[in-house]
Amino acid sequence: MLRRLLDWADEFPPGRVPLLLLLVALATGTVIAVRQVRSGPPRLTVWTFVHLAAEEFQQRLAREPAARDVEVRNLGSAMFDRLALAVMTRTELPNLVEIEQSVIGRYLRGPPEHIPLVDLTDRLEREGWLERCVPARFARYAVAGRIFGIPHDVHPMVLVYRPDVLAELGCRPEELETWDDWCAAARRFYRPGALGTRSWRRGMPLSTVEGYTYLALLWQRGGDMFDAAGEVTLDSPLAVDTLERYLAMLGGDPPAAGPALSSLIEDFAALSRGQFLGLLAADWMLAVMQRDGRALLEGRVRIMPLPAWERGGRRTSTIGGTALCIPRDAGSPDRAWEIAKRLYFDRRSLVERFRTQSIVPPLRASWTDPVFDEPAPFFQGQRIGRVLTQLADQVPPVHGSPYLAEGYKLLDAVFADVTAGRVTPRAALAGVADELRARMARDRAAVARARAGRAP
Amino acid sequence: MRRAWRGAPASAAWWFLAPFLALFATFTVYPLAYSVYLALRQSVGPGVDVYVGGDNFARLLRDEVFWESLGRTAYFAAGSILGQLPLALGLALLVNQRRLRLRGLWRTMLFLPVLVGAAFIAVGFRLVFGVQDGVLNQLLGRLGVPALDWLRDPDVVLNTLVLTGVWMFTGFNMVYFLAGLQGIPQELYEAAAIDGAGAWQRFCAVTLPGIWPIAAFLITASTIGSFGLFDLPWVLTDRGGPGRASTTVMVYLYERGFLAGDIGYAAAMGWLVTLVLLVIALVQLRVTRARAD
Repeated sequence: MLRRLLDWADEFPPGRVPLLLLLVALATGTVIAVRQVRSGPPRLTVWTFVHLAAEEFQQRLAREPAARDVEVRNLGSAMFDRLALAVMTRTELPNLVEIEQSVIGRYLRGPPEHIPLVDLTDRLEREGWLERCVPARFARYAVAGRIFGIPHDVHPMVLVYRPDVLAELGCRPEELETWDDWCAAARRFYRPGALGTRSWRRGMPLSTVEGYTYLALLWQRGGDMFDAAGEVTLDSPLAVDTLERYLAMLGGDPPAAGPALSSLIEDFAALSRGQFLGLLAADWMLAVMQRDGRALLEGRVRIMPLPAWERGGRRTSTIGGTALCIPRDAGSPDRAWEIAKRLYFDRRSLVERFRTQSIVPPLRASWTDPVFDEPAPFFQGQRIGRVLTQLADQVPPVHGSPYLAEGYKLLDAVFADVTAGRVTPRAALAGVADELRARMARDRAAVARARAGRAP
Repeated sequence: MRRAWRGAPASAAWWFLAPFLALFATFTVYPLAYSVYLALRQSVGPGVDVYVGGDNFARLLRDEVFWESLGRTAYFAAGSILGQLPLALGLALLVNQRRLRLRGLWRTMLFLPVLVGAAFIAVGFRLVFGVQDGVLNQLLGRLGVPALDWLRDPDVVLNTLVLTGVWMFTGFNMVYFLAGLQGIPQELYEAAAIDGAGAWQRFCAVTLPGIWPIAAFLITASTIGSFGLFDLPWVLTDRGGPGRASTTVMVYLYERGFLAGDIGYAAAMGWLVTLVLLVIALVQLRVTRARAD
């Protein structure tokens, strides 16, 4: 028998050894495949792109025996491409996924019936979460009035300032109620000098090459890139006027603001040297500051609400955001919803999130926790949690759109030209708005063609 | 059973080729064919997909951002070739010196940047290129040169990428030149020396012709590599910023395909870039062949 087998193997054209290797490969491949089928994939998967979030979720789920089959995976920034491919191919989809606000738009494009995320509106309404959370935070993840993500954060913005420097100017933070008040103080603070030297002084850094600080100030004033119906409003008179006032801050005589430096750490260093009077920061940036700027700023800074655009106006804005979404084709949406509530609406986890990341959660009930009243030594013992939560309900709604990422990119593309005076604010914003409208019109035409079932 | 094996020798080559062909068809032919299919379609989100014929290509030809991105990529390619290759050759000549101490160490150190990931480079070079506290501006300041905003000045940022590219890839190119230099027979140098040739003449008459095939290969490879430049502007200059000042063609392709979800347009862009590269490669091939002749 063995003899016959060896003879047979000898007849194999490439020879006996390649045949043996082939058989070994087949055998091991089969074993691996069978083991994978037997063990089976975890019944529910959660994807995130932030390691702190993954740790938080794992700790939360570890407390729950019923959630032992839930696997949390931190895929870093590569998660977004993997998710895009998973949605495209409808394979290996997670049951729950954290999506950053600037990229969620790609999943909200097209007719509602084709959106690959579960519509959470009815669940949120039925269970009362819309009332219990900051309602403005759902706007980013909504299209046509339907909500496709649970907000992770509120991200209220404040002004971080050097109290000693402000005192030298003869100002108290409570006197800086409006941007005009702030600009007057900043102009007194101003000293000329080239970047790279230690002689210059500016009120605060504003980006001259990207639109994000302008948008934050526009949101504070009640404007937006899109309205609730998803139409472009970036060329509205309010948006144009805000950009003109933004430029006036940067270019006044003397200027009330200066260009943002190359990185946050350079901004922190300039604040520590007294070259900036203050800087804009969302809640999460306070954690970054405490981590990366400890040696520079610990015990030397405090926070205050943003000055309003008009007396009695809104004292905060927002930057950034993340939502937890349920991919529609992943299956088990009800179970995913139950896990989502444990991850995003569990008071203990939300408190821990603030403690480790300075992130104010959207669930109002969590704000009564003593952690928000703890003095922060980094901020001269100030109760920053209380300052942030008092501003949280004022955070403006930022309307989501499938075209948000493109809007940001198009605005960034013209922003340096605007701040350099090569193009007027009105022309720049009109250009961005027109391009967005053209892309939207093209997509609408394609959807109409697809529905009609014909080629052009 | 024996007959089955006996019938096979004529087709033995196919047995050997079969695994490769299967993988090649699955991972190369099929994606290429599928990208042609995509280039002829417009998608709106994951659920809507319509045939648009050559519309994506027609739009691309009118798309100023695409051509500007292509221009920036060509600038980077030219800067890389002109910056990296002479430097790489110089370093190769240096570390090829028998009298040089710790030659192995020098070679390893010069090659090391290739092994560093783009994300680490982004973090490290932010400290180098910072406008206020960056190492480079501090050094320039001591020489009386005013600070440059290496990462945020639209007129400067592309040169910052070229400089970083030179740092990253010069060592890699050096290794190729080193291999070429070591392949030149020593007798040629000895004969040239006997004929009275000086160092410069030996370099021009022996070294350069000896390494020319490698230089030609590196020019083509650097050009193709430069047109694939993505991770450096993505991480070092915040996704090709400021504005679009460092947006290369691959960054723009990614932006349209993955941020905007216009996969068909991105596929069309990929094919057009391939065409441009093909033309460049053919021109380079002709020039280098003429030079070799």
